[in-house]
Amino acid sequence: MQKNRVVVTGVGVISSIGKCADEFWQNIVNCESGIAPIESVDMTNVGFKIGAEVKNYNPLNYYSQKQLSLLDRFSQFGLISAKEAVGDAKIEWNDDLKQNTCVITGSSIGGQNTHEEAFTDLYREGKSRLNLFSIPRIMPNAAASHITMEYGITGPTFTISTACASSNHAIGNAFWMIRNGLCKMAVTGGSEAPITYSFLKAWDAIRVIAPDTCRPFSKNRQGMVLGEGGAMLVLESSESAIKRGAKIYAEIIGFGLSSDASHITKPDQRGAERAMQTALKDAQIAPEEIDYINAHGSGTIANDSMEAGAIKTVFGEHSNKLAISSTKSLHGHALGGTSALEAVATVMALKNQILPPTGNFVEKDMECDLDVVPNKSRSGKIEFAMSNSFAFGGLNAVLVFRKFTE
Amino acid sequence: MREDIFEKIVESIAANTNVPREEITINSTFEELGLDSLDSLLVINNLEKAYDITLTNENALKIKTVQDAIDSLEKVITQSESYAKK
Repeated sequence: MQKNRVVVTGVGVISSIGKCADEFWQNIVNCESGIAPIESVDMTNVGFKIGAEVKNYNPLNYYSQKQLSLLDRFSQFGLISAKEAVGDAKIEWNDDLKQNTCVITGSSIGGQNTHEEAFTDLYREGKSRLNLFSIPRIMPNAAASHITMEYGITGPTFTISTACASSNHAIGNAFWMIRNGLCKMAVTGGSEAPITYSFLKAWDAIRVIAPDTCRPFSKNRQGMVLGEGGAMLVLESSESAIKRGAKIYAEIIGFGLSSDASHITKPDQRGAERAMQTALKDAQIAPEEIDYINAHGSGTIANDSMEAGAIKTVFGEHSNKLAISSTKSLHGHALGGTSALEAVATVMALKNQILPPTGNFVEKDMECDLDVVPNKSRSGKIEFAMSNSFAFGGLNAVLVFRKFTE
Repeated sequence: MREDIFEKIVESIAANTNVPREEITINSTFEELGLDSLDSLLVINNLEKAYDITLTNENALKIKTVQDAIDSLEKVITQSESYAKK
């Protein structure tokens, strides 16, 4: 069967470092971090104080009060980023295209803010009736459903929940749908709004959040930093994009998945290796061809040394020539939305031929002895790039991208 | 105080893992008892709840043995009691 080449023709972002894709990318290039003291939650009784919030965000700038009654914050972020991506791709909808477009999103926790409001009403306020829209706001597929309704998209639509790898799994499935000719267009990515008191307390209990900041691959790193936001990409075949004269950011050429089957939180290096190897196999390229890896790089002690070890195993000698960075140091870890933010960072890196930096880097850790592009972006020749996501639960998803040439 | 903390550690380990109570001694390391990092944190967090205290991540993650746990807990409990008296 003839397989389509799959290209990215639209991107959209809302995040702590930018409320559109261009602003997001500029802040990555400038190594501006969105990590700051959390303002939307009273942090008095939380062990850590920082996060990567979408600052100065007023939902009424995007939606009417009536629309907002149905949109949890994570759905707002999903729809905002989808609208930017669809507008960016300059899609001209018709009935055939609507029926042949898929929407595949990632979310780890769905409408956490709505959940929290419901529990407050129930257990603290003693109310007997909850918000009528609690259920449709909480469901993790709400963002995907709102995207379909915005455009009348009636093709395959679903949401994947694999914790921190959710949106890489989503984008990978959308990529395969287009490659295999099952759909003509895809709107795919993810969103998350995890900054609520109970959820922060849950992260506090598991003791993996850094008190100072997120310093991936750096010696003395103390953990991850939660972020929020959304990112979406429009995918289509290269044939369709060229025919309609669309701007092409990059090509997606490979998707690899694996499960550690080992421990619910502790990553197993062999699982990460297998995900990278299967992604390279799917892309039909050799490890030596990769120029840049947007790492999972969560900033936890366990992940970063495991990931560096996995990269050394998969890439061998070539791991010393690769550039590897974690943009989570800038936009934070937006859980089910984070890989979509990183996918946008990766396609922007390919389009602009700039290597994104790892922010907040202080000192080399010999266990992560790789070129992590510390604290300063730089120009570089990037033909092939990889984006890693390794989730709690040991579920791994890796994408491979290529600079587009006809 | 130290006996009380020890007893609570034994209770917590026995309630949350398959380790028999009689195998747990003051000299046991969590690793010897078969506790992984999550099991260890569960024991420590349960002790926090029992004594209504909070250990920093830095201190909690350093605890690798029953003895470490008793020492760290005793220190924080004493500090919080002297704080309460003031």
